[in-house]
Amino acid sequence: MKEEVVDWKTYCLEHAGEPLPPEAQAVLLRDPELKKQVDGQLMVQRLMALKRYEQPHPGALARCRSDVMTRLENRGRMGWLARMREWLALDAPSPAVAYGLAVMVLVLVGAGAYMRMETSGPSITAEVAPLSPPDVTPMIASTQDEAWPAAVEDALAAVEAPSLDKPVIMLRVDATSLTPGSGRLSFGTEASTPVSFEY
Amino acid sequence: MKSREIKPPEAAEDPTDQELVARAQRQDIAAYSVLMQRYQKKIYALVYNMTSNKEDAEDLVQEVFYKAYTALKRFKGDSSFYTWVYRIAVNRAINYVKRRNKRSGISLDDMDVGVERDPAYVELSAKESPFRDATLSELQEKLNAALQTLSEKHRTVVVLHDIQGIPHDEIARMLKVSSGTVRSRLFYARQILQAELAEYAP
Repeated sequence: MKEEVVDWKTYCLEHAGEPLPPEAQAVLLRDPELKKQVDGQLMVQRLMALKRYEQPHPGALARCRSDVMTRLENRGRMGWLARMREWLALDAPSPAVAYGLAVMVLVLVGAGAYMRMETSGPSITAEVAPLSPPDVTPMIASTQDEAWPAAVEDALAAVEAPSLDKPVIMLRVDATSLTPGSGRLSFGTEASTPVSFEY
Repeated sequence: MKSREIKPPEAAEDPTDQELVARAQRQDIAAYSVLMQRYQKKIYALVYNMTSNKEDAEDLVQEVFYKAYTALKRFKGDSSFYTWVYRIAVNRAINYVKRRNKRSGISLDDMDVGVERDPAYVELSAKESPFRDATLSELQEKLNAALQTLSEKHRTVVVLHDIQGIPHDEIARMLKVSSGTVRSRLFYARQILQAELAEYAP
């Protein structure tokens, strides 16, 4: 078995001030330069230990404790946003974690928006304002699927010139019946609610 | 292997730390105030020596105890409360020093006159050296300035071992490095400090 070689010089330096094994003591006795280095290490240690005598201002700790207690008392009244801000400030996530969190939030927001789109679609029932304001011209054209672009063109052609300075909103809605002049569409057996838009 | 506990700075009085922690875990802020009073001074000394700035140290102590309270529910009692909060303080002080803006300078605490009765101080003052003629504040300024020349990892071991008196093994566990690494960092740090303090520690 290979015997471990101990660098006694390094050992003496790294164990300055501690009881040394006989081999290390022998090396230290033979090497005055090493002894000087070890003494230097001990001197620095003793100098640094003098820093234990540094004392905070008498009122500093009491003030600090009082501030912590005030913060803890106020903590119960914090909203989720304040807690989130506090978490970010206190735990200061690393850039990698912060990036990961940001991506996760984006994914969640995106997924939420997608789910909302999926669950809404044509079955959304819009809350309606009382029928169209006077400067909006509702037009409903009843057409078959294959003919709808032509029907739209006909409807546009019928729009009076002054109305063209307003946006034209076109909706294609699959309805089963239309009551001309009423602004009312029917889906299946139930009548839909008339819709108006504000822009 | 069971982790060695850092000895609390003073003997626990009635009620015990465990009782106070249990109460604090039930949102008893008054109980937590007692815990804070017990260990605040030692934690302050740690962060002050890491930053050499008393304003930063006060802010950090606040942050450490506030953070510890918010995390208290997760404290299972595997170590003493003091050891636990001490480790939080070490980690926060290291992070703080890493991120610290250079504008944050040295601002010193008062030095207790007890230093003049310290054997090391008496011995050094007796020698024919600049140490003898230096005032306490000059010495303090020198020591802090020298400490600030160290990198965060070297300063940490000097503060924990030479100033706070924590054993190598415990420092190793706290910093998640080997005991040999702690010793070698300490040796290297003291070499730099010796060069910085050459007039006092020839």
